[in-house]
Amino acid sequence: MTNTPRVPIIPQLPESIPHIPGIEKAAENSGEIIEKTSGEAKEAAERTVIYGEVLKTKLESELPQNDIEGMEKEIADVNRRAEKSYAELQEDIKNVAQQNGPTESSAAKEPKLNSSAETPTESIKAEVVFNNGEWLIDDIDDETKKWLNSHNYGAFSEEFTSEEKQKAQDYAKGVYENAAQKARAGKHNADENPLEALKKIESNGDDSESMRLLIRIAVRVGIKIATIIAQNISKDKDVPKELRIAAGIFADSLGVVDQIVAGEEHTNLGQDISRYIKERNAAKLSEHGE
Amino acid sequence: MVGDQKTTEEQLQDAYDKFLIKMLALKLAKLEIIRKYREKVDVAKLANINEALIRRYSK
Repeated sequence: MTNTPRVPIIPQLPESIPHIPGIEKAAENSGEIIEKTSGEAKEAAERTVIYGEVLKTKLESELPQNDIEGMEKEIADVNRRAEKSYAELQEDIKNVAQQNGPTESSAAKEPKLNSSAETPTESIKAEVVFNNGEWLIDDIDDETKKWLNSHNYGAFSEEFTSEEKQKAQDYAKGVYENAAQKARAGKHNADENPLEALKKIESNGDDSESMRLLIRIAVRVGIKIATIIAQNISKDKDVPKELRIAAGIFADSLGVVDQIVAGEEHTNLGQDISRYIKERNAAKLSEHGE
Repeated sequence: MVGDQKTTEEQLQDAYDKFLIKMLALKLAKLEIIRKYREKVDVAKLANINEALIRRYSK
């Protein structure tokens, strides 16, 4: 910061939101943009902290001592809020920087999730590199196949064709990419990391089977119905937490892609599958005496 | 797979805009605090004037 903030001599009305001239054009890399935004924000926070000082000082000469103290306390509280907001913005800037990598160039204009050039943090990069959700396209187990056949969903129990396999692989990859994106954003609770949830599910037979079934429905019936089922699972308190998180990620990953709807012969599919997943989990819990 | 994401510039601009709105709100809050105490001073002054006038014209 080079300029010393000036105390306004005349009472000012709040100014309109200033534009940051350099943000869109001048900066060629995000480091420069981040630095510029951070500098501008610091000045704005400092201007807010000193704002009204002249008026306050002038008024103090006319106020009784207890009012002076009261006013100072209230204004100090506002100043603390300004400092807190500044600290929060710094955190947001840090998150954006981490999301996009420290040396991102003007290629940042590419959509983040689809950009293979993005540079995630090392730990997340490792997750994505070593796991693109291959387990999600594995064949479903005999128990699930039996249930599907007995409920007139035999068409879903057959093995994927090579074309379907590719489609399933794309969906699985999308789920992982979305989970990685959400993990990087860091908006989740500490024990609800989407990548961790997928990792836990992968090693849990029943939960991984539920996710494979969702992928299968997305491929065979359509994304929309699979998304609706996943959304229901994500809200169902009777379903294990990891599966709820993963189903939420699944719904969020595929929900905007396609508008395929199930045919009339599958009008109960959503309800049936949700019930099956729920019952399967309930059976598992009772096996463990929970 | 998922819809368009915002660029770095757009994300930063959004965060910065929100921050500036908060700063403006805080400046308004300060003006309101000052106005509140200014009003107390004015009310006290008016009360004094009122009392002086009453004393003057009640004689």
